[in-house]
Amino acid sequence: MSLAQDMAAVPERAESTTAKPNPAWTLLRRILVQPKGAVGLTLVVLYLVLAVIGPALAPQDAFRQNFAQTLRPPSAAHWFGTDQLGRDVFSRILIGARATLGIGVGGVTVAFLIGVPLGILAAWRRGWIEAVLMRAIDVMLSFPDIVFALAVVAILGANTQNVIIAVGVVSIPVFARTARAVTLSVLAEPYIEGSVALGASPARVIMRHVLPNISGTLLTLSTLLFASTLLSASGLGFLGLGTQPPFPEWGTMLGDSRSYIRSHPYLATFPGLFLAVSALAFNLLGDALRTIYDPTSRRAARRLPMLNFLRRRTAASAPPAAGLAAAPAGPDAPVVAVEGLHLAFRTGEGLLEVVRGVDLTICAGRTLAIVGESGSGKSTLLRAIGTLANPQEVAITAGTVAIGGEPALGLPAAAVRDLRRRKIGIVFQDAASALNPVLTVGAQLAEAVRAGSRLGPQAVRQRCIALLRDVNIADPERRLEMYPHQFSGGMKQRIVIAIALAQNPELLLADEPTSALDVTIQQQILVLLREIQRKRGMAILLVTHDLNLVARFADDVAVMYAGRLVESGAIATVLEQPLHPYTQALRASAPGAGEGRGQPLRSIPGEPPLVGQLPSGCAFRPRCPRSANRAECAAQEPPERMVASRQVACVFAEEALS
Amino acid sequence: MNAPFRLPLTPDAASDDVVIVQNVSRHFGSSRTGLFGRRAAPVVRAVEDVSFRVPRGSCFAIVGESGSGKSSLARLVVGLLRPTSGEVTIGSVALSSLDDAGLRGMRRKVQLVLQDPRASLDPRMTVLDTLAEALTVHSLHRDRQARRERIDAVIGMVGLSQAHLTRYPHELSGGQRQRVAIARAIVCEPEILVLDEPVSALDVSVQAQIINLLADLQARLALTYIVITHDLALVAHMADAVGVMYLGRFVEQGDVGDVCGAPRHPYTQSLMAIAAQVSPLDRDRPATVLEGSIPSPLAIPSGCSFHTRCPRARALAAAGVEAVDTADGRLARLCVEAAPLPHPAPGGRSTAKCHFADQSLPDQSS
Repeated sequence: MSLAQDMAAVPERAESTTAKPNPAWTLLRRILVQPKGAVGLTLVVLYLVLAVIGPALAPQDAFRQNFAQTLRPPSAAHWFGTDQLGRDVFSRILIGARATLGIGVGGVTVAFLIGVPLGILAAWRRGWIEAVLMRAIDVMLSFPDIVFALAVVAILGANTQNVIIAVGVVSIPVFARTARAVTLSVLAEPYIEGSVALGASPARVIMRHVLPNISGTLLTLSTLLFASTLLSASGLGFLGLGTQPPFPEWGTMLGDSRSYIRSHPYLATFPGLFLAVSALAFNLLGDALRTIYDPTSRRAARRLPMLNFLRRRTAASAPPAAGLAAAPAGPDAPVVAVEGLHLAFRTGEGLLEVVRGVDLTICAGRTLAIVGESGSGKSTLLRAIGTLANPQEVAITAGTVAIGGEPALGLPAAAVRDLRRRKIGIVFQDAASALNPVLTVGAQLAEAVRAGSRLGPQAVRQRCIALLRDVNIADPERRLEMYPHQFSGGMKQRIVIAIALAQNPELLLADEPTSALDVTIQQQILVLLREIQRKRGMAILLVTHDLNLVARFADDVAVMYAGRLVESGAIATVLEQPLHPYTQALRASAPGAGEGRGQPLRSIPGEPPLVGQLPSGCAFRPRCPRSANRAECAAQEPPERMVASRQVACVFAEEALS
Repeated sequence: MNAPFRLPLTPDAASDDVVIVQNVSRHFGSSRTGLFGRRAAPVVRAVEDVSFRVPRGSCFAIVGESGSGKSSLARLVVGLLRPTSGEVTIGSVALSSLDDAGLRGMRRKVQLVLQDPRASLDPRMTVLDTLAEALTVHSLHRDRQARRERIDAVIGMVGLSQAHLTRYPHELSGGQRQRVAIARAIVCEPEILVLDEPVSALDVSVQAQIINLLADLQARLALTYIVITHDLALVAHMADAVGVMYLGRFVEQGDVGDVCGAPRHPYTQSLMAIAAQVSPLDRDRPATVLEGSIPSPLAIPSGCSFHTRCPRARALAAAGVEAVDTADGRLARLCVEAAPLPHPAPGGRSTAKCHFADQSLPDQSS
């Protein structure tokens, strides 16, 4: 529900305008207001303190062996027990903190500082540099980590500093590959081209635009690699190449405890716990930092309490609107009958009304076009009519929908599927994503044909071929074996239409079916839809923002603004003499609507209102040239009424007639 | 086809042509050198032998569908792509004479506004950062105070307020985002704006506002526009001259009154028929619907590249002109075999690359 996110995102943010006292304090405050930030930062600080003063805190001599006291369980004398040589585990953990964190942080830093620039370089320069770098990295990846680290330590010599380098080098390929992949995807973004077109130098583009946008992924990766780096280091320690015994380090301690894991499990427990919590701490802190430095992630922070979630579930499964009468039924009923339909987005702040009382009917063989802008609720309405509204996101708060005389709301899931299959076909805007790229067109068509019927394979194939013929695809036998990427955009949309027609629906829903297509192809698709409609007599509900297209292909039009139908009726009536000021403005603001060249277009001031932030009275009032602060407009939502053979929701609709 | 072709557009005013594009071609995928020697990649002829001139202060429109090469042509003008052959001259500077750093400096004069403002603004930068970056890149208004004044002036020019400066792109509406994109383009005082589908991603009721804003800015700042669009109605409203692109070539170009008012190329005619505002009362009059889709630029048809979809070539063949049978039906032989030269219109203010541009047309009656 990207729409709901958009709506919720826009409310004013004044916080960033206040003067910044001190960036460091601001950052600290912003980390601490997030629960994960507060926990992560606290833990990381604790670990750092431990690394600094750990040795001073150790209650006992961590190196003194006591063979009378080996492998003891935790006790008052030895809080975490003793190890196989009788040394106090608690003291060893305190003393080992410095080496452990040093290796973890150092190793990740080494890998980051070498791997990330290599990855970015490969993505930026492409060509032979990328080929050479990536093949070299693949070679590195083909060795087991530990063998690679062993080789590095063997060459450099065994001490803590070289272990850091070794475990860092091992992680370079992961950083380089990840950095390359995310850089490539960021480089494909139009804002990169925008800043290049601005004249920004490559260094600037990388520092200002690429790095900030890939930092989130890299931060998360760093925190994940922190733990695996420690484990590599402990592996080296186990082989006698890491931190040298008897000096303690958590990974090595964990490695040593392996032999005793069955008989004395607590020996592994405490170093393991400290390691795991340290990885978690860095992970949480990294996540909090990412949230702060990614302004777009802040809007995703809306979270619902569990209770709220449960309440939504029950509301979703309850039958809607008990108060309303049963939908009209019978053989003569229109294909679609919608009465008093109210829909609302479920958000963290409660319900946001997006469709506010819509009545409409479509008869067989007719095309109704719903025209509106983004946020007007037209797509949500189409989905609700098609029984496709996700009950987790959209609540039906009142009203009825009947398809082919059968009520379509409040049915059990199986009945909804059955109704959808028998009566409704759907065509969406983006044909490319509506088709599965790894299945042949024939397989996808056959699936649609077979649903709910028992046809033999030969009959299914015949039906598929017939369907492709219906949508004017030449040579259908051969095309069945082809994959979606082998078709052009217009052809894909024809295939989507063929799939929608597979079950002979009574109603075809088309959500901006041609917006993604070229203008000359748009016409072909619309002519095709009309031709099919003539042959089959189905009803079409078309949702679009293009009035010109409506004028060519629809029978009836309903203009939607802020969740209501402000004007609806036969196409000739509404478009030839629009009465609602919004319809008039839409018609008049298009280029070529009779204004002279060089004259300004008659634009509508302002922008469409946000869901949940409607003005009182008529929702169009703030942008309306007719309203001019008249009290009647603000007093109440204008009711729909019949004026000059169309429904219009404007108190002063008659003024347009004179 | 390869002879230098000079547009018959006001040749006396040549000295004030701020953008001159001469016989520019751009091919992709040829002679790419891989790690293991040359790859025999097929050549995509994205732009082929395009010439036009844009006088200072005017608006030139490039019209075409997806795959026509119009976006590549825009990037050639901005210098984001280098032409395979031909020359782009901005002001009096030939872009081929500039190195990468020189091109970057040149971009202060030529700015690009992209189609989708949601994607073309960096999501992690506030409006203020975005505008300040443009100034930083070109080392303009180094003084903090002067920089802020310039930004405040520009944000007012595009109809936003200072309150918008602290917002991030996702906190703005579509229309506001496009205003920010325009502000970023004009903040470093360019002479030329290249507008790539400037309104097609916007809501209908907001499109007119942006079109009016662009017209207003052009008048106030004496800007030269190059608009890339698929919408001939927008072209007829905004542009002074237009080039209609099909498979990398201009099939018809010249004065907007000629090309949009009396199109002579069958492709322009069908685009114009679609763009015209329709009255629902006379919609039963069939609109010319082109068959098929744009061929792949990897395999451009022989002769006139439009012949596979051309209703005129078909009608002429039916009317008795010498014809051949092709996979796309029976078509006039000339269209399939010979590339058409530009035919000037009677007034001389536009040209159409169609063999039969000036013939009395049998398809109008049939």
